[in-house]
Amino acid sequence: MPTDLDYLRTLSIEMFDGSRHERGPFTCGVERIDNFLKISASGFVKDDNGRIYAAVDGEGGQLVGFYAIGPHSIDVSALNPDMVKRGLRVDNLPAFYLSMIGTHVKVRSKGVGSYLLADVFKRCLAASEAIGGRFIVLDAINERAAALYSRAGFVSLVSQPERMIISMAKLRASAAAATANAGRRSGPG
Amino acid sequence: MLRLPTFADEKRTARIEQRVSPRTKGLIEHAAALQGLTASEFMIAHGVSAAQDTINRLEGTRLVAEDRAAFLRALDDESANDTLTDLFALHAQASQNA
Repeated sequence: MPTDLDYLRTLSIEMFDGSRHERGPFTCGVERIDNFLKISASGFVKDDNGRIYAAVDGEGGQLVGFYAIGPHSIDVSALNPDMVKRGLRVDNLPAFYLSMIGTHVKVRSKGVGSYLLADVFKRCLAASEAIGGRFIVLDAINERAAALYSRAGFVSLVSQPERMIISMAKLRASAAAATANAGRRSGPG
Repeated sequence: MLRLPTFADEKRTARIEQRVSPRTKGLIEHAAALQGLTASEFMIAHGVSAAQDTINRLEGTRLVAEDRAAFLRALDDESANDTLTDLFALHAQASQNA
């Protein structure tokens, strides 16, 4: 995936603020996602359905990407014997649901989408450390997105194939591997 | 058969109107007639059912027996993934101020 690290370093990812972030010019190419940001975003946050984070361009202060994340639960009661075998004596497992993610068409191929997705993972890992949460769940918007999530280790559910999940344990292991690699690169020798 | 939403104790004081093509209107009226409903009863029933379903799906994921293999794979897999590792590395590099 092409990235422009110099550009990404000019961005800040901050909590979305409808009174400050200019949403008008935003378009990611999917009308449903644009409409969510323009029409539903403020209510989504106000009602505590979740939170929205925006990637803001350091120069113009323009919103060039965003995501919406909130709490979710996975009803595992149909798999009770498997859960009991693993010591999970509950009917629901806590999770996070990534309901929207979009990048402005004018910054395509700079890696803003990758940066935002990594930010989702980091934020959910921190939330999971703080209050618990075992999976990230999302609905892939098309085949291309599904292929990308699949490469990243998400698993698609048979009963609803667009719905994909990944465990915090896998994310944690991958984050630890990235930290270990960085340490090796900057270490002595 | 679709259950009609009741909300029987609530007064019907709000209106929803939508402009549609004649073909769409004809299609809805035909389907409604097949179930012995008026077009508006049909649209309300399906609209409410779809709305509830959408909300339920956003709040939670209900696994069924056929999801077992995929879900257990996700649950038990605690290994690092190269694509994810690259994404975390990218985040670390991008969030360093130049």
